[in-house]
Amino acid sequence: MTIFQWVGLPLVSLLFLRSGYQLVRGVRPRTTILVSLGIWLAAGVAIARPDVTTQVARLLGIGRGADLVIYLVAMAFLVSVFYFYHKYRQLSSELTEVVRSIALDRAQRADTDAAPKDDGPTG
Amino acid sequence: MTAPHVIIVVPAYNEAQTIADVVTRLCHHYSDIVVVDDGSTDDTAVVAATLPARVVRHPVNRGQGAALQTGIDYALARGADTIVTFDSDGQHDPADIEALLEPVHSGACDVALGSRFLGATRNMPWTRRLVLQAGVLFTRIVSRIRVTDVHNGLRAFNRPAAKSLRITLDRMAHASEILDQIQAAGWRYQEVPVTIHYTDYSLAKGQDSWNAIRIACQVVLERLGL
Repeated sequence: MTIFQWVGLPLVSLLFLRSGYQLVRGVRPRTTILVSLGIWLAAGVAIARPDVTTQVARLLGIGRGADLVIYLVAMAFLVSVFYFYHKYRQLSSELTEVVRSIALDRAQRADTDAAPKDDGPTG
Repeated sequence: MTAPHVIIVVPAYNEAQTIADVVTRLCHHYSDIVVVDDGSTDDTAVVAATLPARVVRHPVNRGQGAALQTGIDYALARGADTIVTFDSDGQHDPADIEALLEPVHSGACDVALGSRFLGATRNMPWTRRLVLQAGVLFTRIVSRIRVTDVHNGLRAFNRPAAKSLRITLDRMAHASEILDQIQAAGWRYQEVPVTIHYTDYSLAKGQDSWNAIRIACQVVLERLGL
């Protein structure tokens, strides 16, 4: 085994076990955990048996296993960018709603305070 | 018949230098003015509070689109029949509002959009003209709405249109979003010639060309549902 395998395999195994634990406990959405498990498993296989990535790459017509990994990482990066952009938009929109609500509430309260009060008939 | 209740919404961000002049000029024509201070870090809110206008203040800056929506919500709550949006950098002419209101009040359209390319521009740099014309072309392709001016802050909405308008793009891309919603909702719209006065101040505060690219990207991403 290479040094990278000595370091990488225990690390990926720990992450796999962590995801498995989360699946059993049901702390995160099931689909998210299953995707995580798939990623850790694929990473483990790619580290333990690099020749497998080459075989899969040839099967897909890519050629080199390293190229397959680069393509997958690039795709994952793009998906992550869009995911976080979507999350950013969602949070930003929620923040705007809160800010708007505070602004309107304060303005309407100021209007109420400024309105002339009807004290009723005197004397 | 009573005259329609017109409320002018003026979104302002760091406009302490111009807001007094803008509101004062508006006051000569209209009595109900709402300044939405979009979390300014200068004295915009302090100056606005001394003017004959109602001030709605965002605690933090959220962008012109967000400020417009806040102003529209406030104006609707105050019972506005017609809502006019008016920029705070001094580029617009209050005298143009009457022409903008005419087709809305006569029932000829639901939304009146100011157009500098049907009207006039004073001291407009050619680079700005080029960017705006590119914006018009982009909008015609992406939003499929035939307008001559895309990013003009002078608009008038009747109450039903204002009620159904929901600006979600907080920053400058809101102008394209408004056009998208006009098209999607099938509101009747009409372009009205207006005059835009470019000053060194307004040009320094305005959008640069790179921002136009950012706006285009945001519109495309929004269209893709991302």
